[in-house]
Amino acid sequence: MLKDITIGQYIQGNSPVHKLDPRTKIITLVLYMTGLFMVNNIIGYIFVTFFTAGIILLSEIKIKLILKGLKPLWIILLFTLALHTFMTEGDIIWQWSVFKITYQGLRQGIFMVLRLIYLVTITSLLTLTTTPIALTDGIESVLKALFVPVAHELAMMMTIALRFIPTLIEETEKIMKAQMARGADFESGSIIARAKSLIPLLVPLFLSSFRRADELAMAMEARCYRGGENRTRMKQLVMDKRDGIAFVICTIFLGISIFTRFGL
Amino acid sequence: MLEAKFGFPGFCFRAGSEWLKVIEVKDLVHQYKTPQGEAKKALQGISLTIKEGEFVAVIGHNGSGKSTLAKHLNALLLPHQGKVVINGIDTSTQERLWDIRQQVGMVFQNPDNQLIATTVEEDVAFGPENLGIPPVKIRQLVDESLECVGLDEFKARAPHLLSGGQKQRVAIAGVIAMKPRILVLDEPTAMLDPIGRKEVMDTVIGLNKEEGLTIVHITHFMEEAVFADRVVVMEEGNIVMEGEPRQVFSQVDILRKLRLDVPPMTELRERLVQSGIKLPPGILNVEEMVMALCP
Amino acid sequence: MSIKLENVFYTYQSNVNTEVHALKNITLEIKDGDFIGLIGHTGSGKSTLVQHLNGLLRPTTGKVTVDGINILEKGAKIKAVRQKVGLVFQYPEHQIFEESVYADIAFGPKNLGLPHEKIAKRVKKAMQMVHLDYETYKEASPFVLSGGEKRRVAIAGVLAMEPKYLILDEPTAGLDPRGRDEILDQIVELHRQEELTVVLVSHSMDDVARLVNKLVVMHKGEIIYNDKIKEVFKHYDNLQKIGLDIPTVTKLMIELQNKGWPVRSDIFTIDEAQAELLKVIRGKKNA
Repeated sequence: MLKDITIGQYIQGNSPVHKLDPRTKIITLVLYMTGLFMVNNIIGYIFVTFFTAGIILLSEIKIKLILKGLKPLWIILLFTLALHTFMTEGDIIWQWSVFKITYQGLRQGIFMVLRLIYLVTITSLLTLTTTPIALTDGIESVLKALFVPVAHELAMMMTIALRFIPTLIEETEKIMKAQMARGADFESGSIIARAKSLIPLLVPLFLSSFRRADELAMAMEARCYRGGENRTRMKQLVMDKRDGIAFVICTIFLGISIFTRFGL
Repeated sequence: MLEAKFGFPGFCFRAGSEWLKVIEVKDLVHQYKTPQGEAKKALQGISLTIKEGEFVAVIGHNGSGKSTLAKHLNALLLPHQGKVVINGIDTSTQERLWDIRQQVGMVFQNPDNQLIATTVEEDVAFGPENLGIPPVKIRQLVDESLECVGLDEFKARAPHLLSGGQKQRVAIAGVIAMKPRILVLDEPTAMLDPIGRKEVMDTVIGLNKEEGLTIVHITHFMEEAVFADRVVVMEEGNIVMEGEPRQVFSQVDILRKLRLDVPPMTELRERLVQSGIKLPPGILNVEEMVMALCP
Repeated sequence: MSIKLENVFYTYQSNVNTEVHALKNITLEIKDGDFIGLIGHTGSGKSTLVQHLNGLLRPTTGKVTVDGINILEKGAKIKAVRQKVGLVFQYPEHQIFEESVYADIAFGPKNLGLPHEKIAKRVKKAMQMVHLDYETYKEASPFVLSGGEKRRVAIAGVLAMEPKYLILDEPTAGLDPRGRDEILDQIVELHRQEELTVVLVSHSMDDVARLVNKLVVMHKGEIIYNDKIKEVFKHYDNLQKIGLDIPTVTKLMIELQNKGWPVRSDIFTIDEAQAELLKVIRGKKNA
């Protein structure tokens, strides 16, 4: 059951988006997000919609997969829509006692929902088209360029987390089964009873994680790990023409987004 | 400088006809505190010399101090008394710490808890990356090491999708990619099934015979100790027996008293001899027993 | 009374979205009083099989009954099944979570909803069964014990459920020879004195052959042999082909037979080998 969780799922592919340098993807993502938060009118949103659709097409990722990623968000989306629709002052379209829907509110609500959808879509596109290793390398490199002091440590933590998620999921299932064999019940009872029933699962899981962390630290030390200093990487990130084009396109995108908002 | 370190794979250091001592342990004492707070000696003054290219098996029960000894060989632990010298470098020399760890590669028991990266090749590259080797050279080292352990086809595989034996071979590859001269294996087969154990043993024996790597293999499986040039038996922080496998295993009584396994054929020979049947000493396996019984 | 598996198939989706047939047409009966060795490689399906015995996994098709209870039936008393069939997982010490040995062993009986006095009685008995002195260990933290002791605490935790069938998945994995012998001796004792029906899952023939009276050999999700040890070892060549060793002494006997010696090949322990060889050698001399 736990195996259904897909964190940072990567879909193999050979599209232009796949081939981009991870740093390019991260930086253009920031450009895209800035543009996305700039637009505030219908023309702007139409433009962003076409642009986003274009990227999805280019990435050759199935739309079904992206929709699946949006599914868990529907409550938040609905809430956002409701909040804006009901809470914004303006021209009233419909009213019932204290509840009122305004034109401005509806418009704002739809815009916000679209914004969220596009944001999640593009971000998940990043993880869907980038291997976890490339992504961590990219993050490390970008953070270093920004003089973030713990860039290497953050990247190393991400790598280790990605490495151990499957192992921990497997272990959780095993411990769960072992406790069920001793009559533990994880599925029924009140919320409090259920929370309590997690103790026999969580304690062994924590203990084993500590043990793993300890052993892993020892193994890393034995392999001469001493932080990011003087460390080289086997795989070097290299940018080529494609990355340049991506930067140009996304900068133009940002420019047009600003233009749709402020005009010239 | 890197070339000097990595330029001579398989180069053997001999001084005259005498093999160079690569490991020298002298009167090594290590203390620790039990959870109850009392001080105990995990190692009670051990001395051991290992020569270049030698394959030494260390056997003994859990708690006999064999893992503690292993961790002293690459300065993961430092002696409380006595000293450990690797290739002429005292392990307590702080400035040479990373030289020692590069020269003494270490493989641990749990295959899950020593692989760091999300793909096999990235993991093998971890050690060389830490040493600051140029990328092109790392690529070469990684490819060579994976070929050496027979896993070149698994380069892009995620570690958690490998079998136990394969994981341990990745761990070995990750260590030999640092071009060490000594490989210390701390119960690498304890958590594996027979097939995995055989995979790992074949790899280790190959590294010893073909690459001339010095091996310190810690285990409690007697079948594995048989392959060694020398067997060291530990009990309660002391070395209690030492010698060629044949010599050590033929002392069935002592091994029994220590509650260690004796190869079944050796024990059978012992019992048959006691019943008055003449058999040559030092029988270790079925073939030798058949030879002895049907001359 | 018995555990019965009839035409059990178990199929699941792997990570790469292919179907894995972990069990293929398994039919097996574990009868009262059996002492069965279940042998096979990692991935042969033996761990999947044992999880069917107490309903932790449900067959894709086929039927599993425990003492007449069909575990697939709606409203089946799955808790009763789990109480009857005690399952000790690999590295069972990893499931320990309580602060004291007593509390951890009491976890199972507590889940059964027993009163305090009964729980105390069961814990005491379970500890005695694995040779842990009650007074010395009951208050101790299980986490400071040695590896072998921890494992015994975990096994006691299952025994405190008072199961009729005890299934142990690789109970000696990772232990040193001393710890291994202790655990195996205790399992034999549980079978003989407590009259538990035992299924011992292992990949070591040397460990299992001298203990059990029946051997089930699994390979690629199927049971390829299910018979008395003697009968199974007759397929010596095939066992070696799939990489399952036979005990060293048995190998010796077969080698000697090939050389024309009149020795029996159904020999699994050094004691038996010694007696048989002495008999044959002395017979030769007299002839």
